[in-house]
Amino acid sequence: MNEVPDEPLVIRVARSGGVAGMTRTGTLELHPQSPTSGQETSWVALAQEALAELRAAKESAAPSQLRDSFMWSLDFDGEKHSVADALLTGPARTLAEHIIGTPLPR
Amino acid sequence: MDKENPPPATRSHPRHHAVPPYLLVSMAACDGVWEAPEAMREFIAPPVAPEDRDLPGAPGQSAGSDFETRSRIATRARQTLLLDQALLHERATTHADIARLMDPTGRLARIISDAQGAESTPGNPVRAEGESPIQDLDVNRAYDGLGAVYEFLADMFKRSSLDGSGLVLRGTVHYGQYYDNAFWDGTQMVMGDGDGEVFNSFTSSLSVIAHELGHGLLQYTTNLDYQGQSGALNESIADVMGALVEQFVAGQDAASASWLIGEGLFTDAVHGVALRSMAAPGTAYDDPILGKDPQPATMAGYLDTTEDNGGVHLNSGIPNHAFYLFATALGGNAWETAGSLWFNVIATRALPQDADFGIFAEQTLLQARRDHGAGSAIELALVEAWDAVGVHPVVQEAVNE
Repeated sequence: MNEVPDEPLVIRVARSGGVAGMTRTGTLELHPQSPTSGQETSWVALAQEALAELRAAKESAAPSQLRDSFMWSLDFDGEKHSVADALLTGPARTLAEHIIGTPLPR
Repeated sequence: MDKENPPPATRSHPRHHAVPPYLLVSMAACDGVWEAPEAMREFIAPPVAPEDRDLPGAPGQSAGSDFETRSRIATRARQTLLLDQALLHERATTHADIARLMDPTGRLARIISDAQGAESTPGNPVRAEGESPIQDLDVNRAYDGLGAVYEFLADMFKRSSLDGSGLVLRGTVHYGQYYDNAFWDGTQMVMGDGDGEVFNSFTSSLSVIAHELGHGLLQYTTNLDYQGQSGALNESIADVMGALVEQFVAGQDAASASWLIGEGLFTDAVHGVALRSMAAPGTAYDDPILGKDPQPATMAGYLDTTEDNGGVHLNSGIPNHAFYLFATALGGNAWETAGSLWFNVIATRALPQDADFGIFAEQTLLQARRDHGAGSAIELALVEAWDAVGVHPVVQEAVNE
């Protein structure tokens, strides 16, 4: 990602598929150079971990017999990653679930 | 085959056929798109290597023509096997003595496991076949749902489980935290608890349970590619299974059924009745948060998208509606004539795995002619149903490769 000062990092997440066939989407805008809160600083750190994780992951298709499973797409300033639900783990999952707002807060 | 210990089915209950069973099974498998289930493989003795099979088709014929011949022979043999299994089952179920001699694997076996909130399968086994209900509604609903699917396949299509030879039916419940989905993982169904705000537990709908098992049935019959139109057919046939099992259990005929998939899955907070409506695709929900049910009912509304494997849960509305129109035009119980016609198309593996709507429609029409004769009222109702949703039957070209 390009970390130009004042340039926000825009992360777009979509979760499609599922037996209900409903796509959920969300966007998170972060300011890596000038975070406005401690919370944003943690999200920036998590986003960087998530991106590193996604880049390191091998391009692996979902197991071919899976039906009705969720499919995730994550877009970091234009850098796109598609991940099957069972393979989205760790920081990338925490970030993605936060962005689309699931699981719902209790 | 071990001569000293032949399988009980061959020893005690000889079957009388014009074509010996081992040959029929070999013929049925000769195009390579169908593998004989384990129970049937015992009929093949000794096993015949594909290249050694003596098939009609004179030397000098093109490869394409050989492919067509094999495909035709195999499809007809599978048709015969299907009928034969049905007759055998009929005899077995009307005579208890014969039933005991039947394939020992051909019986209901269920195992429900609890993932306890983890996103892993199968989890801890909590209820096996024959065990009493436990203090967990989801476990019991999953168990009962699998039983309903088994009974439906056995009663209506004379088929023991998804593979036709008693495959153990497995289900995992309490998968993940507030998990808003149910899916088929290639070996079993997996059910989330739902978030409680939008979705109730996914075990709360029998049509959803049967939908997931419908994917399993397809995996063991015609495993339609999960992408684009063949993917939408895979989804649609799973919905047909979902609807029919629910109607079968409730004893509802086509006219009185709801034709909804996932009724009861939404919480009271949602403005909607179900995930999908086969009677009126696009009308199942209209909610401030979820939006409006996006399913098209006809080709005029066909959606081109890259999400959801090319809109497999969206465009399935089109073949869903065709099935609904066909079944309601016929009247009576939808699982009988309309359901068995759909089942025969997938069970005989007449379709290529990448079949589109037009190819599928053509195969249903061919099946209608085989089952009911050319020009029957049933075939005409089917022609009208496909026409109403804007799908034009396509005669499949013989393609080698």
